[in-house]
Amino acid sequence: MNLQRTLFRALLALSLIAVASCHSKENAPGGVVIGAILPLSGNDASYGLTARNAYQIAQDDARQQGRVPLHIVYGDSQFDAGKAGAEYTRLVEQEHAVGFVEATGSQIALELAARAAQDKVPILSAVDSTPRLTSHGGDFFFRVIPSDLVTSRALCDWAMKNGLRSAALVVNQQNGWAVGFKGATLTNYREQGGQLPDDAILTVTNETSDFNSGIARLNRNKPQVWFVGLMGRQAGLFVQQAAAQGIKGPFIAVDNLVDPVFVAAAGAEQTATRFALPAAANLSELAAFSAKYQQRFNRLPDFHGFEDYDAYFVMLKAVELVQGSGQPVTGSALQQQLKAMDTQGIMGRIQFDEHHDLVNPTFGVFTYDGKGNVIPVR
Amino acid sequence: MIVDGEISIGLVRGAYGLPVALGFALVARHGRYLPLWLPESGMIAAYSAYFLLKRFDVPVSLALVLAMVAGCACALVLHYALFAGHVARNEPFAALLRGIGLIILLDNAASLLTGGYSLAFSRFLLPTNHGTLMLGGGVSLALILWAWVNHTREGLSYRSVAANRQLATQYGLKVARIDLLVVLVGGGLCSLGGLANGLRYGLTAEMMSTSALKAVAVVVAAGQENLLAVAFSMLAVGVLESLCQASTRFSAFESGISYGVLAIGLAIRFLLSPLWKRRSVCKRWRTDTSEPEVTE
Repeated sequence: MNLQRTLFRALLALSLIAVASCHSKENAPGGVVIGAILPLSGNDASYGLTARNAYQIAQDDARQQGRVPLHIVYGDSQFDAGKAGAEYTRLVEQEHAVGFVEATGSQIALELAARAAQDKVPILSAVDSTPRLTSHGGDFFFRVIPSDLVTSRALCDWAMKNGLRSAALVVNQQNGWAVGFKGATLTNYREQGGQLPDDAILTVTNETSDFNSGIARLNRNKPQVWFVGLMGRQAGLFVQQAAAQGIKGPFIAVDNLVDPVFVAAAGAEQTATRFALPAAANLSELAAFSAKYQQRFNRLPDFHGFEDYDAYFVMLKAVELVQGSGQPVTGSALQQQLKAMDTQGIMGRIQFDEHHDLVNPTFGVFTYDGKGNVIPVR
Repeated sequence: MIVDGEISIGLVRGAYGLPVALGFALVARHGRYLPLWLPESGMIAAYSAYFLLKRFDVPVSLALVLAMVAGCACALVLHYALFAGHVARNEPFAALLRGIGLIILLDNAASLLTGGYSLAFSRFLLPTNHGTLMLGGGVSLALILWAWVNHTREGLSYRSVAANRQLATQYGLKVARIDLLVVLVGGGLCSLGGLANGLRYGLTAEMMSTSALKAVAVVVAAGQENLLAVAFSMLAVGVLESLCQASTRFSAFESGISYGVLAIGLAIRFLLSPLWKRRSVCKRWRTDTSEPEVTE
């Protein structure tokens, strides 16, 4: 009986440690407190962990540049809007965060944007790309990633130029980003004369991991291209199962395919993908960041790591500009500085339009080389 | 339109859930509770196989065997450390709650172990005829287990312990031996299910949650005492999910099939069936007590 109790207590202690680790803070005394609501556990944890790793590198780089790093406080959303809301409240009310450097998840961002406008706390995102945030993001939501409407236009342009005029689409209806991607793809592809009828769309949920019967149905129309509105592991499984049915793709999407979890799940079929990404402007800085990431975390960063790094420095610059003007660092002051922001990140120039979307982003179409490395499509 | 291809895809899909459902039913009947934690031994087996293959370069067949052993061993340890007391004292709700706590703990541990990233085996580990193998193997397993439970001496002991543990002890049955055997077989089946699912769909901390939900649904709907009905129900769930996904309008309802089966099963077993029995009893009682007709 004692042994049972001891074992149970040990297991309980372990779980408490696990929970506590999700609420860890970066120690940067003196820095302005900035929140980050990330999925740090659960199926989509790779997004949150990549962001946290990128911030750690950014903290070190800021110190090396003689700047006072931000004091990042984390909230684990587990990619759930309810948990994200609770973490937002905690970070604003208890930790006194004056801004957010991330609120991962388009649905989460849509819900938090309204609260951020009410509390006058700006949210800057490197991940949330749903087109709805352009119209519903409000005055306090900014993003350093282009809207999917713009990215998907680049993707559809590429498909039409390559003669891919009939398509199928798979989408996770429980994912806010995926629903936005579906809308953007349907609009752009159909406007350009592509054939993507309603019966060429497969709608799935978060629990789906077997797509075989849906793939078999879609394949009866022999689509020339497959749009993938799934994330990470689901996207990988879809591509792998389609390839097992003899489908050669191409499977096209946006930044959702630039994820180590996708690469692991898709296996060798990763080479059948094509995805549109913002064209990197500063290749030497990009390479330097990748080298630091590889050295510190023993893996290469995915695309979001670059955007997260940029988001950190945009927020840091906004803080420094407020401090430089002699004003107290408040959410409203940060918002004003973000509105007027014009800086160069490793992914290109960062300047926001009236909807707080990136001004004139440029894109390239990329694929994988079979070893998980992203390469441009010729 | 019903298409043969989609039915065969669905049968394979159901077959991947068969080992877990059978193991779950076996342990549920024995312990008289819902062992939600048991499928987690499949997750332990799958992660063990992955690390043995990737980190320690162990040969594939040896890694799979060692992973099965690890899954069974964990099932045994967890049962004796956390659930044996509840089973002995017939405390189904306490065991259920403890099981839920254990699942959260194990899922968090797996997530920490991999830094939150999901993992995948090389697809070349999965044989090309894996669907046929799983379907044939799963149905064979169901038949063997059914025969063992219903037509052997050991099976009779198992049923006696499951029906009344105290009486079985008083009659001198080796209850401890049956306990060990049942958890070992149940843990082994779940480990097998975890390995099969891991090879096909990859590894995540919550990889067994869907299998566990389906197992609960079919065990509650079909009855834990009828292993063949459990197996048939699991295959039927697979086919229904497949047909649902293949339809244009209802593809998004695929994940609700298990919940539907669970709800219908509960309604039939605990609402309609008792009502039907009561009606039959009342009818019989009225017939028995009615006064004989007086004829002139």
